Amino acid sequence: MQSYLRARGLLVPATTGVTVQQATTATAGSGRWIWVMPLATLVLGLFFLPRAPLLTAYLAALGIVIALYWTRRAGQARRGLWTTQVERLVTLARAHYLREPSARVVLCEAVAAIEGPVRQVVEQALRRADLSTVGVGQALVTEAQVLGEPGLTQLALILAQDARPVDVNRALDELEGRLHQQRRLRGKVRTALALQQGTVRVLQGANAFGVVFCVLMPLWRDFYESSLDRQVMFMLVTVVMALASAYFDQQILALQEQAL
Amino acid sequence: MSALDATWWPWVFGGLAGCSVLVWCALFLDTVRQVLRRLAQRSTRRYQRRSAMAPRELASNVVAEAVLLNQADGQWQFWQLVCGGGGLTLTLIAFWQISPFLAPLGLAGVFIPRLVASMRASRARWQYQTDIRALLISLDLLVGLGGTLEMALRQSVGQVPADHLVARRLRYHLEQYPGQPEAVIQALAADFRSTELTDLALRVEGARRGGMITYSEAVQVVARDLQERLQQQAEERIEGAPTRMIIPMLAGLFPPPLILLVYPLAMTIMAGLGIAP
Repeated sequence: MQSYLRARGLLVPATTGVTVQQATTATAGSGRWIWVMPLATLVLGLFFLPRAPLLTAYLAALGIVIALYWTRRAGQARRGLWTTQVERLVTLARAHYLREPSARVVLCEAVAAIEGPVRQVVEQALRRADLSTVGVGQALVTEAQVLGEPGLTQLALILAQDARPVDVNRALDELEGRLHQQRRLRGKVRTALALQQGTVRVLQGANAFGVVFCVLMPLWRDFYESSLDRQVMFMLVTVVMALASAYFDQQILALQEQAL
Repeated sequence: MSALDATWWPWVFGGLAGCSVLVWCALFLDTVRQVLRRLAQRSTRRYQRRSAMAPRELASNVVAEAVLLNQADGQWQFWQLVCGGGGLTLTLIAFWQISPFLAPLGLAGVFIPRLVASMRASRARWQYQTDIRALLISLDLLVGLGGTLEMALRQSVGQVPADHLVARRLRYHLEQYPGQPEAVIQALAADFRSTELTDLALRVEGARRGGMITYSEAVQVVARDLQERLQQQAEERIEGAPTRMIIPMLAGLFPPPLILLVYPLAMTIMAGLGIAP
């Protein structure tokens, strides 16, 4: 059954290599700061340890879940940065192409002004073209697919074509226009969502403050650890907090992704 | 005062709880009904398979709606039951001392898988529309730079990440219909219920029959239409977001810390007045 579905493109292939995107996500997630959250919740949980070990275990687990969520989110949010770099690359490529209509010269000169994974991809393509008989444009097509950034793959496609310089220049012009429109949309998103993001952060801060307050203040702590039903009440309210925070965070992230 | 409270509080709690019991039980029973219906459908499908009838999704060469909206891998009704049941149990424990009638509030857990499913569907819809846009843009570029439609389709596979449904289906259709780019576009349009791809297929067919349009123009018009439509949709959503989200956001994120802080105080005061356990 699985092979039937895979053959029809209805199942994701079982093995896919580690991409630049995955590597970047992994790098973003493996930052030391990401473990501050489980550590902090574990420390908070230790206050409950003598009388309510259930809450200690619960808070430790909640911290780990939040850390995993942030690891995943860091990878999602990183794409915006690549788009800006690609836009800069396209602008520079077009400017250099007007002077010297050669894919190699264009990429060699434009790559110096950009950084991050986009630069790595372009440099890798140039190296691959040096080591093989493949043209620079074709090498960039292969490398750009790894990053999965539409602007970069489109630039690679244009440079890989054996077309008249006039047509290539027109295509670069259109690509630059599209990326410019995207940047305008991103600006709109930033303005429109500034209030939402601010409100979510403030409310998330209030939620975190509420939890910390209840753990640190003896009156509240004694109350919540005094019986099983109160412990469950604490767990229920904090789960609602975490779920609501994640939901609104995802909604805002989805809107930001739509502008990319 | 306290005698009056002691008389009326149980009735107030009881009334509210009665209403919530009715609403939530209806919701819960609806979920149970869906699960039972699904189980019945599954047994029917097993019977059909045993009687050598292929399931509809597999017999058809079109992607099923559930696969398209990224819902095929999740047993959503099962998770609704689990979350509803779990929520009910937890609220029953939490409210046991105050009023067990408030326990049905925990059935709100059934909404968690529903929310996840709807978010996944919305993201999947946006994802495949964006992939189709990337595909059309690269077709526009390649055909505009002098390539044939078949070659452009083959090169465009790489424009969409390999694990995305659009790339997988395009690869599959290219294998199925070698040398027939119109058929590939038609099959993709059927897969994704895409009006743009259907429009493209019609225009390409017109161009092939020597109509008043070239391949390049056909692709260009459709790519720009889709680009504009998606941009307009994104702008509308973004502009409407502040008004659409602010009230649910305040309702979802403001009460929990308040409950966490006020609940112990309220219970202590009520215990002092002799109206709480």
